Amino acid sequence: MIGEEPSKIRAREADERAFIVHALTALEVSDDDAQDVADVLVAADLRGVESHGIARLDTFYCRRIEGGVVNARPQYAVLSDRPTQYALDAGNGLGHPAGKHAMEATIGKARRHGVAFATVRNSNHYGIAAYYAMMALEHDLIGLSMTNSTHLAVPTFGRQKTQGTNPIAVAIPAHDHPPFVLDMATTGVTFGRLEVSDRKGKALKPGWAVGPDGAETLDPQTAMTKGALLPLGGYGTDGGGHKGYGLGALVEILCGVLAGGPFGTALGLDERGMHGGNVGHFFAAFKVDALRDVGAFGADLDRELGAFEESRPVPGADRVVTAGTPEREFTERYRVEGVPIDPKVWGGLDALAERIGIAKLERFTFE
Amino acid sequence: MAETATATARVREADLLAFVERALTTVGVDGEQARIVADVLVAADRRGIESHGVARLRWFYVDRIRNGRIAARPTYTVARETPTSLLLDAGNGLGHPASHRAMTLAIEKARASGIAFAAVRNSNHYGIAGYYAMMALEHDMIGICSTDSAHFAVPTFGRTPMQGTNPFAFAIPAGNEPAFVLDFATTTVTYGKLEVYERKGLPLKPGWAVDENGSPATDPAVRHGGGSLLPLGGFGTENGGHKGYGLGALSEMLSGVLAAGWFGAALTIPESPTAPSGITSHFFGAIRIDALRDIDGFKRDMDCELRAFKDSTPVPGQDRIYVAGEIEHENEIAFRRDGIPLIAPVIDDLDALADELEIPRVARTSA
Repeated sequence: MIGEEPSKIRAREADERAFIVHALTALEVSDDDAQDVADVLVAADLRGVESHGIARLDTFYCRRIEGGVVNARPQYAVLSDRPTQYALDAGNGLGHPAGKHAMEATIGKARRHGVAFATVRNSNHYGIAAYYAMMALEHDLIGLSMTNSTHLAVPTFGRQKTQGTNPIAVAIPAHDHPPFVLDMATTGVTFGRLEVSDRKGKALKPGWAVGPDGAETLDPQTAMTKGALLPLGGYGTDGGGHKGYGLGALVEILCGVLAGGPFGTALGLDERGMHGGNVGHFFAAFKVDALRDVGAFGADLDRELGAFEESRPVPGADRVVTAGTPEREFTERYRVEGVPIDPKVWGGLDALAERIGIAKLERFTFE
Repeated sequence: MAETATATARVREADLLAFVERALTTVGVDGEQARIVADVLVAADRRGIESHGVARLRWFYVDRIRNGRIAARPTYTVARETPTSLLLDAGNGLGHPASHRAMTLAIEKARASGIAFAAVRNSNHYGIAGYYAMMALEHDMIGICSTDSAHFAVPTFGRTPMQGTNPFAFAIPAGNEPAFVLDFATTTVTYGKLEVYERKGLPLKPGWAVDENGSPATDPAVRHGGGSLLPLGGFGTENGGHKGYGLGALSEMLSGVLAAGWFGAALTIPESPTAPSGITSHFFGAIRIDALRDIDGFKRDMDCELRAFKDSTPVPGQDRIYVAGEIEHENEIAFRRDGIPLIAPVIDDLDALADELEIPRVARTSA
């Protein structure tokens, strides 16, 4: 979890992947779809984004399938299929296979026509936004991915939740340098960050959350139970909170309104409630060589990224990083050391395995 | 701008347009190009973004043409073109007409292909980003625009300015509601805000600026001693400063790097009469909405979505919740009716320019 030391109890990447596939296929999800979910969840854990990995397997996916809220075997409907556009109704299935399907279609179209975009409606949580944007990289394309989500954040100067953490991810291929991968919630922090502060008994930082009256609160419990998140930039307009609010609204418009799915108050549901099919996604891909030669672009991007990283850090900081660097370093490390899984999450995974009758996920202690 | 200084004069929109056009043609700019520059600059003043309007006419444009840094009669070159993309070399001309050309072509291509994008290199300051994104609106398209700019902002945990205020703009049409127009610098505040606070002798707010060591600063004069702006989200990562940094870097990659223009160290050269010009690059995109869904249904849903934000409850002490572009839209209505307010230093500067160029001064409204 963000801001915490990684758990010493680890799973091997291949074991984690197999466990997710077993769990989902035991609930009637097709093997292909289960593989897609496993790809995205394991990628999140490897990237150190534990909040979006296997920690959500039970509550966000398995239980919603068991409860009949999310369809294990959805019927997709293609709403629009043109040379540069694709619109999908995901039939209230899992978000990950629908997201991969739509991004693959986008990539195919962009390779032929230079640029393409896609929307998905009637979908569900799709994990980390970066996964789909990064699918573009191996094709020398720039990838873009966004999703709306359950409303957790207030607008600037508001006290009612009108938007989710609505992330935006962009991935750009370089040549020798690893790619630029920006994946950001449009809120200052995510809900998971409030949970971390709560567990540690620490006060929140200004700019993170408000209480029920819309005024800033530093109390995690007030924020989590009665309050809301603030947009990136914090309260009011002094720190640019209206910009984060605007970006969150942009995501809501592209993923909800443009996709023809629910938006506005239809998304104002309790995150812990059992509901499905309310989520929409937006994807795009741009071909670099539609504007310039890929090789020259990659070499220039290497220089650009290198310039940031070689610039001098502030006293007390080791280095200046570029977007995607920490996540890539986590991935390299955890592939060798094993994937850290929080002790609390292990308990839930064991209970899940027993409930649906599959083998428990094997673990080891990393010293 | 949030700071509204006392207006000392009001001018009619048509008079201001004619004046800017006259000033530019007098220094050798082609009539059609001068009309476009006038339209972009006056649009900024009309929308209440006075920092980017006629206040810059002399300093950014006329003076640079007169001292030969910007080409009054540039030759444009299409460096690469496909049915969905365009790369334009602006021949070191004014940024506004080159951008107008690129966005017009992106819109034409999007009409035929559903989506298109364009980049411009060897260009100069282009005024407000929102102008070009908004060009898509009357075509029932979504418009996107960004530009890189001279480096004033540090990366997260850095102390050297590595990127500009690099704005992004998105414009999305609605039905009865004004369009959604998000136009924001990826820094918390712009350089102009520091100037305003210095003039007023007020301390800077947290998250705005750092000193020469990269440490948070509240001294409004910090920019004279090697200080820099902070990215949206402020210092460090606690409030998401890495997100603003990532967005700013993204802008420079999509503009400078993708356009095969200048980027990195080339954008750090301090402004002077002999500093290089033509170092600015821009990025544009247009997306056709009816490729995905019926435009009337989309606009009806946009109205619902925008009203959902606006009808939500404000915090105590605030009258209402705004959506992006609404304040600027209201300014346009008021200033078209009552005249555009210009503060004393700006109107004095325009008068002095008129005298130098031996053209009539801009008329004040009688009101």
